[in-house]
Amino acid sequence: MFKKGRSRTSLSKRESINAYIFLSPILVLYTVFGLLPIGMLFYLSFTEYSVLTPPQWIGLENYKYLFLKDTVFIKSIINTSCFVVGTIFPTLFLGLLFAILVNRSLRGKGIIRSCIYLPYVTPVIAAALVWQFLYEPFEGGFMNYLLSWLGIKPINWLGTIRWALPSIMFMSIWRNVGFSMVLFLAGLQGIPERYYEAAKIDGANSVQQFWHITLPLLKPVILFILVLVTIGAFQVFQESYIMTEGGPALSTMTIVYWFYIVSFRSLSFGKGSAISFILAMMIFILSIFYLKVLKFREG
Amino acid sequence: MNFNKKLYSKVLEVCFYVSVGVVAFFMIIPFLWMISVSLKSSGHVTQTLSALIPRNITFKPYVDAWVGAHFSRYFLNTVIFTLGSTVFTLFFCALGGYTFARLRFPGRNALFLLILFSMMIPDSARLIPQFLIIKFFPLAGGNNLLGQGGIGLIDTYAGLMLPFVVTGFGIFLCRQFFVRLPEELRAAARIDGCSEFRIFYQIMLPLAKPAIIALAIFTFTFRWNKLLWPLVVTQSKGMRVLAVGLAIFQGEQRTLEQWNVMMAAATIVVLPMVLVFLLLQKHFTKGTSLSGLKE
Repeated sequence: MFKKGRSRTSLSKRESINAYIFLSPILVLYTVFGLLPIGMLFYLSFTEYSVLTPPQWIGLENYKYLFLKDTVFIKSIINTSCFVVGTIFPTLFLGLLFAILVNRSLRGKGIIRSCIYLPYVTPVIAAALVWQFLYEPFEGGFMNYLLSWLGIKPINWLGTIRWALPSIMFMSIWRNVGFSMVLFLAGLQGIPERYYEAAKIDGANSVQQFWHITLPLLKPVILFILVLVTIGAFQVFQESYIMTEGGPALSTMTIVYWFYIVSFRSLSFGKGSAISFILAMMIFILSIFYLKVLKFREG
Repeated sequence: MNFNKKLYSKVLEVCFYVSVGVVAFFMIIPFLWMISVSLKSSGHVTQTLSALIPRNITFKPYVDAWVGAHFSRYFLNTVIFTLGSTVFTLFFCALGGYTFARLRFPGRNALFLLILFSMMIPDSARLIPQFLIIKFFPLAGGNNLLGQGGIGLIDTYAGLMLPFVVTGFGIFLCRQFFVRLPEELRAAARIDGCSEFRIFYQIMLPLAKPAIIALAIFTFTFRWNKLLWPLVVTQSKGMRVLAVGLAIFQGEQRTLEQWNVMMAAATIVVLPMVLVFLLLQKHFTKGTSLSGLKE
């Protein structure tokens, strides 16, 4: 009895030792490159730092400057928020629509699904370059060619304040819609067929079925897509970097783009840290908010 | 009456196919356009859609991009960066995920919570600190023990890869999968005298293949896509990855006539991803849903 107990403790001791041996390289790397940077970022955001000289503690000056004097930063927050709101809802709606269209038995289903998903696997940078070409203001630009069918004069998509940000948003929706479609498909296939059968017996038409069965049961999927697409959209950068360089007149300047310019072109690492800390906080708070909503639903 | 009803449903069917077809076609138009322009000679780039199928196909734009604009070198760098870092990530995250899922040790929950917490911090927030850590890396690139004096790991493959070797998401994904495997397997293997590492490597790892494949695809795609990190951590032309090369190449070319070479370069960047997707299609969609919907 005594012996058995002792062998069990030595077993669990061995298991702990094993665990720490397995984890040691992972913990070292993760601490250095995953956790330490968060602390460093927090510290640096209160300093003035340009790599060449050691960081100087300046308290809240960076934050004061960003919110009170840096008009570009404020503009980038507004632009990014517009981008987030303007892309997530179409991405959700179209993703759901395509998922419902593709979910029924139809010939060539696989090919159509691949076509819709394909944009999501293309690197943003290459997609942005291709779309820049599609948006060319000359007649050969594809978007203007489409408009010419409708008898509308060519539009300078990326060159005017009015159209630049919506053009980038449109491209972003094109790229993400396949991702949300695939998640919705998985969600739709998880709904038991008998729910619909029961509804049919009760005389519910297809609109009622969608409204009272499909949509409520898809809520977790909707929230999940909402979280992922929002986090991605808040960090939009490559699109404006390639297609418009933040212009015209800063109409496509985003938070991450401004962060990049401040940090790596002006070498103000302190201010750059403050910008990315603010962004991280925005995303963090939003994630917590979504999580709360999710939890609330489950409970 | 019956005939009319049949006709009605036939018409509906046709309308349905047409609308789905139009959607699918619109989604791939950019790809068709890209390939079409990349096969045209400079003078024919600005032709309208009527010339979507180029009359005189030329591969000169590809040669110009691959050889003239050094995309062969960028391609090699990208393969080394993406493949290399992905292999390390798979191994470490699988091992970490297994340890968190299966082994009992003091501090397990606290450590896992820490990883979960840090997953919520976006990549861009780590950019400056990671850059500084790589630059002041001790005893590398002319640095002394305190990381002063040289450039550290800036402009090296190690510098490119190190921050991404272990990811919180990878550990999380693998843990979620290992948790669901039956414990009896492990007990049986242990009675047979297997060491803990052999249990992981020879018994549990093969069973986790779906999770590993999903993680491999995600990691590979994300890293092929990365721009910001390679942009700040590489400096010489010989170390650029495709994304950086394409961005800089685009900045240098401003005339309409160069669009064919740019589209050829874009095709070089896109093609491997499309091929990987077409080959592993099933795993792609499965992986997308595996990533979060379950649990």
